[in-house]
Amino acid sequence: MKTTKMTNLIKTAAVSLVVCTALTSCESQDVTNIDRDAARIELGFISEDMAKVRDYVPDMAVIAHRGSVYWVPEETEAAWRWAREMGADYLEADLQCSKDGVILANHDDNLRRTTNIENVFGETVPESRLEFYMSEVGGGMSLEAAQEQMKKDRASFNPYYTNQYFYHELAQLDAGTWFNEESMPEQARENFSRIQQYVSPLEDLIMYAEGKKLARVPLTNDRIYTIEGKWDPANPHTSLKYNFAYVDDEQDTGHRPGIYLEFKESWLNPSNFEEMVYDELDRLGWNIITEPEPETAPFWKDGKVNVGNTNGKVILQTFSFESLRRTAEKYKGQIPMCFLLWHDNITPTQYAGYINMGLEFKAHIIGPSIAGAPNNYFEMNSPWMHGMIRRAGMLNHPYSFDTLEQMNVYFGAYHYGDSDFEAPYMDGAFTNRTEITLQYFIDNGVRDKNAAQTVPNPVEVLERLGY
Amino acid sequence: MLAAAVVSFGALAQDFDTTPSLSVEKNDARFTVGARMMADVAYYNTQFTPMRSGAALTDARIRTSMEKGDWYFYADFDFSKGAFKQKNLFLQYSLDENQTLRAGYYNDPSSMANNTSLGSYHFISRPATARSLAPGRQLGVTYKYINENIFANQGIFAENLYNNQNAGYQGFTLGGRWLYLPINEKNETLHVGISARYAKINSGVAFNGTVQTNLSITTPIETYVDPTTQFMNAQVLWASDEINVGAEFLYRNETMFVRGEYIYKYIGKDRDDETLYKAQLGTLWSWASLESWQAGNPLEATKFNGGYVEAGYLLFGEPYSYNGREALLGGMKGRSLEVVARYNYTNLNDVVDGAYYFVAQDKYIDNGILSDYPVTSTSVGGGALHAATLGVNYSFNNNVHLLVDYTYSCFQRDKYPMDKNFHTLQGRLVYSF
Repeated sequence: MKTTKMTNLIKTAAVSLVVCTALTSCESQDVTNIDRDAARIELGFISEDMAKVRDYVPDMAVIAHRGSVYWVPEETEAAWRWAREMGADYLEADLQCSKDGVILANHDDNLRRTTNIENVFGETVPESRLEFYMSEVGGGMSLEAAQEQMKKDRASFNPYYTNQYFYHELAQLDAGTWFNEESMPEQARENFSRIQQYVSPLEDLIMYAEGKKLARVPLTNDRIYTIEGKWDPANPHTSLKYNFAYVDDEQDTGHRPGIYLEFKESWLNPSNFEEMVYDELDRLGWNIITEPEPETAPFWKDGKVNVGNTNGKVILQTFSFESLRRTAEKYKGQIPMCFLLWHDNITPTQYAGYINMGLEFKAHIIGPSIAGAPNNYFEMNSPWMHGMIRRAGMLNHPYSFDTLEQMNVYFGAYHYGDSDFEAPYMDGAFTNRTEITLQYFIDNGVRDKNAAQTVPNPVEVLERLGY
Repeated sequence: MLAAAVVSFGALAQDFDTTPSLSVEKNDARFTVGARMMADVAYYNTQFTPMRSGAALTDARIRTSMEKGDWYFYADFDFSKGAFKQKNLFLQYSLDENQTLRAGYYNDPSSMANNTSLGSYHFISRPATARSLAPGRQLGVTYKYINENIFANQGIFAENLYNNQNAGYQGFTLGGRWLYLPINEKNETLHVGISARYAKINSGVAFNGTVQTNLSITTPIETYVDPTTQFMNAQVLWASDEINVGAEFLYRNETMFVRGEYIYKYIGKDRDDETLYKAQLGTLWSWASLESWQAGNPLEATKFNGGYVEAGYLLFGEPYSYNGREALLGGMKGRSLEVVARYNYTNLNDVVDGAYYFVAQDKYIDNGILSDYPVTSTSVGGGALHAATLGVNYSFNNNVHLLVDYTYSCFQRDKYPMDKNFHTLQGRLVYSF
């Protein structure tokens, strides 16, 4: 009798347990929810010192991506003069290095798309280089020594990469005509060819930001520069000095934008490239670590951009992990740094990995790609992604805006207010359409009241600048 | 003495621990038919990544055997989850009372846990260490010798069952389990011993003119209802030689048992460097010499390990038994109630000291210095698992058992930094005849 009761009790308990467990499991059925994961995943937070440097950067900054890839031949005098006159807060550039150490701007890993290098030099070492090596600035080599050096150059030559050419060779290239041939007819302008557009040294960019333009030889329109020193193959990046000439830009209306500099893939540049840029900024008075601006300087003044006169005048950026590390080592987080992201189908855990890596290596800003035509980049700036960037105390500078539609998306126009994360999903924007972005910011009340509240007509600006 | 501990010769086979209820005897031959089902229900509480709570038919078997004289044939098949699966299929010949030869498809002998039938197991899942590091069924031949104090089972196996590899020819496996039984009584047994296994891995997939091998080592988190192996998962490319070395013990008396096993796995690697080096030539980014390619693509052996201890206490019912033929603990019998506990540790992490791990790209940089193109990492981050289980098992009779387990799993894997703690409550109903 006792045994039977015990058995029944155990049976009842067992069945009850199975049923309860099944019901409980149904009630708690769960799936991955990205918004929820993004909100609770562990993230680092920016340090107090880093936050101070982060705040050097103006809110809702308009960053003229390569000047513009829509209106002008990118990363040229025309591009950056246009962007400055449009009222962009930053002129953006991709930095690489010539064989003789001139820091210059070029987006692709080679010069084929944006210059006529294939026609000028082909796939061989420029033949004029032999004569250069025998000149005083080229090293004053004997014919035999110059031929030997040419032989070495040929042996290691990779055509079309910037680091394979002396800057005086690159200065022979036309960086403007391709735009007329490749772009839509509406954007083509004869003067992008007639007024030669050069592969731009960093110094050019800074001068444009300061309201200057290239000094050119009358009639030929060639830029004016001289070369000092004696090239030394043992010391290739510092043995020559270029003296570029500039003049005040008569079309300058007083905007003083900052510059937003990208360190390109590490294998394109010398291993001390970040240090070279540091020194170049120093030489040109744009290194706020050694020459800080007054902390009270405003970002905008009397309707003019004044970022170039503040401690936010330079922002650094990179996709490269190696460059991120080297920048942290050299700049120690004392200049605003943006870590650019490129990753398909990313999870919150992975996104947190990028943010935490950025914090570890002293980045203040995350630069995620945005989706949408015409580029259809990976979506790395969903609301939850922006929320994570904000939760880490960093700024969000997504790239690159080309359309009003994209502005609408990332201002939350299609989330109908239901998102867990507050729009707009940006703290600034890389844009190829400065006029669209500025107008959108003004219309949505996020443009500072001290900044201009009207946007120039982009075509009229080009015409005023002589293009 | 030995005879008392050993049940009728072929009547019990792997994966079943009950004598078949249906048998037909004719002309000195005995034919048996049996079946088994296991229905599991599980509730998971996870810290971050959800697991799918629910119920599943985790085992549905039909078994047959034929015994005649010294010959014994056994076959069983699983059709749980709607899919037919080949299980054991072997022929066994008894040389004498102490020696047998077996050939066919069955468990490699070099693991106590994996050779113990799940139907006889005192936990819902085998320990993660056995599920990940110990071998399973293979096609081969074994020779077994037993006496009162010695158990020695060893054999040779093929690399896969159907010779259906993508590329390469099959390797082979040598495995064995050797035990000493200082106590081997009807009411008490102690065995201690070692196991070892060597596997030559030859087959893989075609890759740049070579055969790329890959050893996949995975386990779910001690459950069968959600069989995901995403958490504990190590993929070891270019594995060529796999060595398992293990140690085990088992003690049981009529009311309690305790047993444990430790497994150390060494995975040697090999690849055709020269062919791979030549295959990458011809671009701007090519490695310029074989030596530089090798320096950029280092190959290091990978090491994993793990172990577990299990214990049980019989509250009432039929005493614990020992299957001397297989040197394994028997399952529950008759009307019995027991409580059980287990601790398991499994380590599938073999990470270079000082390596930098980048979770966004699931990548280790072994020298710890962040760079764009680090040399290929030799680190493997498959995960480490501590799992503690408490269970209560009730046997209604020889055929019907009910198991309930609670398992706390503490997990560590760089790839899943938010997944640290797992709680699992599981129940199982077993019926076999």
